Amino acid sequence: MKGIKHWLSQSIVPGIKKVNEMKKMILLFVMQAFFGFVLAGFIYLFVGFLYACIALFFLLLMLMIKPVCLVLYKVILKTNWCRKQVDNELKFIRRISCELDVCNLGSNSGRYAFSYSDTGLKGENWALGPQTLAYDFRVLKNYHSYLKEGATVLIPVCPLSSCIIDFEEDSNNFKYYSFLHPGYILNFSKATKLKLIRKAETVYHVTFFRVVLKRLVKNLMGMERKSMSDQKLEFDANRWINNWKKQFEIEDMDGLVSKKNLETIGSNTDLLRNMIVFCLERNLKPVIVLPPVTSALSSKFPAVFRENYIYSFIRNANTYQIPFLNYMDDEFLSDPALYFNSYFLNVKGRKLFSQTILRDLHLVI
Amino acid sequence: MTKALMNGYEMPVIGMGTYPLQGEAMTNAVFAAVKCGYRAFDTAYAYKNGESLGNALQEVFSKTSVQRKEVFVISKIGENLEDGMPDCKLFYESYPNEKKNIRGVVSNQLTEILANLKTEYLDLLLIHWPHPDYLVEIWSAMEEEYRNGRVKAIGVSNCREWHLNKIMDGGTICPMVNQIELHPLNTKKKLVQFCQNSGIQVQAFSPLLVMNQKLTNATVLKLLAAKYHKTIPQIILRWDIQQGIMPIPKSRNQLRLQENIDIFNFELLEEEMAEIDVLNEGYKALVESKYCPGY
Repeated sequence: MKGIKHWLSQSIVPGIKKVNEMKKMILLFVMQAFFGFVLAGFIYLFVGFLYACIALFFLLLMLMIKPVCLVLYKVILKTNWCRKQVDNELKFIRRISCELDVCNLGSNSGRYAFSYSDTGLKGENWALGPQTLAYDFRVLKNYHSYLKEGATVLIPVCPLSSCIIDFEEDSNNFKYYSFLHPGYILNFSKATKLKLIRKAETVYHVTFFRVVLKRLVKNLMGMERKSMSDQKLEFDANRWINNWKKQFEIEDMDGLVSKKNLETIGSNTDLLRNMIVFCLERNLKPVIVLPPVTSALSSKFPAVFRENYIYSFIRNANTYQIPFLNYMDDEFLSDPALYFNSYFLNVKGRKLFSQTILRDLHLVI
Repeated sequence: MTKALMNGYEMPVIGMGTYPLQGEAMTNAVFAAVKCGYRAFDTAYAYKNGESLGNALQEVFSKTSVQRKEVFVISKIGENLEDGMPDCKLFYESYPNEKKNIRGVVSNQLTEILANLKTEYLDLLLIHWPHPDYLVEIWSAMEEEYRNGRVKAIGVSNCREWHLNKIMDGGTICPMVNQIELHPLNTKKKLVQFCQNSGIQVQAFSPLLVMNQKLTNATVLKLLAAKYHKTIPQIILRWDIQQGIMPIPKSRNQLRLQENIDIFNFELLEEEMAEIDVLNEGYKALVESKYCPGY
């Protein structure tokens, strides 16, 4: 709760000028009420009593929407349930405790792979979707002071992490405006920041309710708990593979790596190596992790592909011989009941996986 | 009471922090501090209160017998603040459309600092944050200012072991002071040891942590305060002094200013020092990597 309040007072999103906002809202309320009553008066005089009553009813409805939303918002905000629902969206903005034992970076596969809630360790899942390795590093550079000395930094690698440096679409970087330093946001512009603040201020409450609603629907439908049937899993795995092939212009999974991808893999190799050096220099313990996926998906990655896109990339970057934990074909963790699609772990799966990896690293018994 | 820096220059063992004082509040606080016996004043380029401090000191020099050479003025090279956070425009290569001339930036900032403070020299110039992209370049530029005589001593602020090693490897002069956040909730023992072994004096900012509840409620501090007939801040500042750490508490209240400097007439026992050390929980008022990405 404190975290969300802190976020409200710190972030660019909510009313930074709360007092002014409140004054503006009251003024607007009074003006709307005044003109509404005048209008209703005219309707009564020139049209009739019934229509004036209808107009007044709608007027009251319109006037009450915002205050009711605000009250609801305040009430919802105070619940643990709410915090749990929007936690992912707020994780960098709410107060993070210092002296963390462990954190993880990563894109969606990292986001859905880790949960430290039942591990007995102080941990933070700093993965965001979608996120490149370059932004993983930027997040780490901005937030590593929350880690205690000797803390573990899990660096999850997706099957095609090596093939992307930064997203071409600028809107993918907008999510960083509220919690990363401007110097670390690609193509940062003050105009964009102001635009985002304005947008966030005006639609903030709507956005908040939308996020909560989305989460609620997902929860009710059990989308992050349910597992898929074999047929659906196969379909989903093929969908992932086809999308990746299209995105990274890979014609044949067994074929040679394109020149463009080779160059990107080279750059990412340097980047990953720098991340490792950065951690070691600060007495942090980096660990490269290949999170588990369903066998429906892992079976789609032939040995040649793995060597070309994953293993050689990690081997070349890992000159300091930090631990590399590969769970891609882990039989125990490939059970479809632990996933909500062919790629991402569900709530049960991520708790089990987190326990497993922390045990493998001897961080928990 | 002073302590010699590694170049022999004497520095008061306790100073006064001036952020965020401005204008009349600054003048009143500085006058009160001088009256209490403070001779060291800490400011920074980023605080934007150098002119206020300069005016206050000028008044002190003209209205009291205290002279410039008796006062120790500390300032810091750094980024401008935007919404309370450094904007990272000067010392980050990642910042778009900025051509970097580190030597020029340092020289110009120092000129501005000296002009605002109305003084010809600074007693101590620090790097506010160890900006990772240009740390050694900033340090080299400061070394040049030191050799030119515009500053009497140079040092760093918020540096950890890896930053200090980088500076010592890349520079020709070892930092003389490292000003860090240090209080019983964050004792930074290893770093303090490292600095002291390297001859670097440690200065503590936020030594009282704005009297955080965890400090005011700490039983050990309450008991020691009762035992020595002192206040909790006095116990904490004494704990600093006995470790060889130089605190720079901030207050605008004359009573508290007096209280903060009245710490030289008692001594904590070794076991009492250790009991205070136990309060350490790595608490950070300033999370370094958020203020200085890549820290």
